Amino acid sequence: MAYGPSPALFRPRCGSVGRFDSLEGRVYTTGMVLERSAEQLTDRLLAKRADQRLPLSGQWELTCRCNLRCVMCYTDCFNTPEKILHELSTDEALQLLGQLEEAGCLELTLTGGEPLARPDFDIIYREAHGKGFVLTVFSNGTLITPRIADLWAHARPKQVEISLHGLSKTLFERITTKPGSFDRCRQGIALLQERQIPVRLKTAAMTINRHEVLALQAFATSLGPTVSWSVGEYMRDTLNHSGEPYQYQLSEEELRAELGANAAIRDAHDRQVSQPASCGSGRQTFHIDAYGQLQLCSNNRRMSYDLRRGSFRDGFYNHLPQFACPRQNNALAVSAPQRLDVIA
Amino acid sequence: MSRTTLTRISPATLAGVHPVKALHTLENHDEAFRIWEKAEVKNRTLVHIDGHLDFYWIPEKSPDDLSDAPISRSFKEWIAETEAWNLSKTPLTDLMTIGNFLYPAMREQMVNQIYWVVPDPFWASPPVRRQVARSLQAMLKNHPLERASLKETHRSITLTLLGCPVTVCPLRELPSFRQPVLLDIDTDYLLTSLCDYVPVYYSNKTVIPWQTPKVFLERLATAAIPTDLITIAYSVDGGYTPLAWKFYGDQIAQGLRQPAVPLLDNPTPGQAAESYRETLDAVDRQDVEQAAKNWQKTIERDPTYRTIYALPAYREEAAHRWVMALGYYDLWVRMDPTWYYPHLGRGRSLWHLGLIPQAETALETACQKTTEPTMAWYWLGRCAVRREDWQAARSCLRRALDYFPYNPEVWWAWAGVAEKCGERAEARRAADQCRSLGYEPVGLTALIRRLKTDSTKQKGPSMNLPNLQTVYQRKSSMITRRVAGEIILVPIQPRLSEDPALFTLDNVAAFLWDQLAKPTSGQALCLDLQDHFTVNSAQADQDVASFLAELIQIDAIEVLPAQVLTA
Repeated sequence: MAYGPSPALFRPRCGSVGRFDSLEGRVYTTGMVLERSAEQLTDRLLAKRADQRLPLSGQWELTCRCNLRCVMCYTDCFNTPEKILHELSTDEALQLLGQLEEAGCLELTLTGGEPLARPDFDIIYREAHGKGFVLTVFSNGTLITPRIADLWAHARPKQVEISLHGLSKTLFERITTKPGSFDRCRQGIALLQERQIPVRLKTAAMTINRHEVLALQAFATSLGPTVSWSVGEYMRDTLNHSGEPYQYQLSEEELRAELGANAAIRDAHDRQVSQPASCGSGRQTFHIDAYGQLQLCSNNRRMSYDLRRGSFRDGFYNHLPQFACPRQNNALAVSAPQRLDVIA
Repeated sequence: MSRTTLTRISPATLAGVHPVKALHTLENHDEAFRIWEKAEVKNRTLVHIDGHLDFYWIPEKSPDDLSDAPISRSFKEWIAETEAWNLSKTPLTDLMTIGNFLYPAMREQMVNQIYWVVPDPFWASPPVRRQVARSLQAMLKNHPLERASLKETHRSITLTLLGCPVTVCPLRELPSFRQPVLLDIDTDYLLTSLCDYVPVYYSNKTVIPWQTPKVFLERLATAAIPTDLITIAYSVDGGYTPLAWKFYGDQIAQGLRQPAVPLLDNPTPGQAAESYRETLDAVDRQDVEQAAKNWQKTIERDPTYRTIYALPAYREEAAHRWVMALGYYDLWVRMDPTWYYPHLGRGRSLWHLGLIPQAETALETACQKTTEPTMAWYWLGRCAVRREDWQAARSCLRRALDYFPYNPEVWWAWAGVAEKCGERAEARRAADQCRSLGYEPVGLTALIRRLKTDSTKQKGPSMNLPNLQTVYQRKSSMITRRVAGEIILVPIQPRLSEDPALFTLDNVAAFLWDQLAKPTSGQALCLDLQDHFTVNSAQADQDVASFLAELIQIDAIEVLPAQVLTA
């Protein structure tokens, strides 16, 4: 050969003695396990704990601020200057992140309102990412700028979930009530696609958009493998219990008639209906609202622990187990009577 | 070598006593097989005077052979011969190397008895002799039929290989031969003092011959060995005889051709060996001008001296002393600017030092200096990999394979890049090629398994082979989380087209990961592991190497220049 071997290829000419050493009879093992998903890891970690309590996954409602005013939104009632004043400050948010890290939280979902509407979103996001949380961001997509997309390209989230309730500009903006929001949302999705950031488009099937739901599914599929789609069918009451979103709720008959033929939607429906009576709320999962209140889940805010007054660890281990959960004790409905009707 | 001139064997003479005519000098020792083949030798006794046995198993059993097993015991024994299976069915002689050419010589019945004359230091004390025996036992380990044949006495070790009796002894213990023998001498016999099969070129210590050709020839004459065909190998390639001592081979040849002419202790004036030694002296003095003159004189006198083993840089590179290697390569670029190899080595050293743009410039220059720039294109490909420019990497590696499609290292890199580009079938083909060419880098099996079993998870190639002398450190892009008493690694750098993954470490891996918080060599990790766990050194080496390979594969550690440890 006309070239010299590189040193990495060097081998003794007859095989060194070491080559024949037996590796049998190992007294220990060494290695690394690839966790296929955070869920798989969660299951494995919990299996090792007798009390089955570990705050592995949390949802944090960073703010109730939002640049849109969606007709069925359940947080928009708190999108007011007075309420915003009481939301966690940047310092408080960063301090809370440290507590979550220390407690062993692994997966964190940043939601709102619109989390990008917080002016300090990138500070909080970078801090959370640098601490090694596996992050998901819920967004309406309209505030995703090239700067935000670049931030996520370099500090990659597990997924960005974007609400997309209409495929036509007219319908989309009828729901968001903000002119121009459709184009900005589509642009935001494109920015994430360019950077191959996994996106899930989420559609709430409602009376006003039911004729576009299947088209939305087709649209999401056409965007390629980095984009997935899911559908929700049940409205959630507003935080001030006005009941306004329920006017857009499809009845069970309408759901079956309009969407029942679609396998993906039928599966989603079946999953929601057949959720186990006992979920992980308060044992492996938790929810924190924009004001630092620790709760069992976003759908159950009746009882809270104030993280401004105590530590996350204290709240999770000493207080959350005391909170009432209608699923666990089959008690009263919390905030979504229709949903509980379905469960029943 | 004069392969074509030899047609028959000359009359027997006593080596070192009478002038010998049928004597051939060889660059590489396996050329001896072709000389014996040409001379049509059959059923001869071979006296093999060498620092190495040059026998190793060549896999030649085909799975079809199993159907010939007469009894189930034979079947089991054949299966147990793990080194014997040639699944690629490559012809025997295509698998011949300097390390195994006696195997085909036995199979072709050229020789039916072998005396391996070992250097006297091999026999100097019981512990060193035990080292010889251990190396033979290790070789026999996977061959149950011949494992029991090994016998040791204070005069010799005997065994059988392929049914052929082999006697291992020093020169003084050779018996008297009635029939002429094939006399086969390797120059490295005079330079090898340990039976460890490690080429002396790579040693940090100055190589000092344990015996001079003059004394050797006197002792050879005393042994009164009748011979009609002599082969003498220089064995510079591979590093078994340092180039500065290659002239010992010439002196042995001269002494056997003309026993009456007294030998000098130093190179003959006016020969390449002399000017090469002067080149090294001038390099030591940093006298570049004089070094360049002496070097030019050397390669004019004997162009074969223009070999990588002439360069101290290559040894430095093998020891991962990249700054030293770069210094020597720079020097040689100035001394011999038209020579391809120093440019290539310079590019390689710069790559290891992380100076990618400079490395690419050096490698592009290297490409212009040769008609076969396989390795220059290969390293340009690796530069592109460092820049994560997969298309450029693909293009460079393709060109490397176009020039020379049999380099397994290039196939290994090609496999990694193809996987990265999402070309799974091509990655699999490249990995198979790599294996069929006899190269089993750490990570190859994992790659093949990954390509076979999981079509949804793809990870980057292991472009940096873990070497225990290399210095590694954790990358800041991999965050360590402690959750529920477990250590979990969370990658925070973008890994396009991959699903996010988490990695859990077991206790030993977590211990090693802790050590990697600061710059640490693989060797230091092995020692730390042995300090903290009940584990022998071979196992520790194996485990550290495989763990480092995994970490490289998930981009969790970086390679640092060795100087960071001394800084």
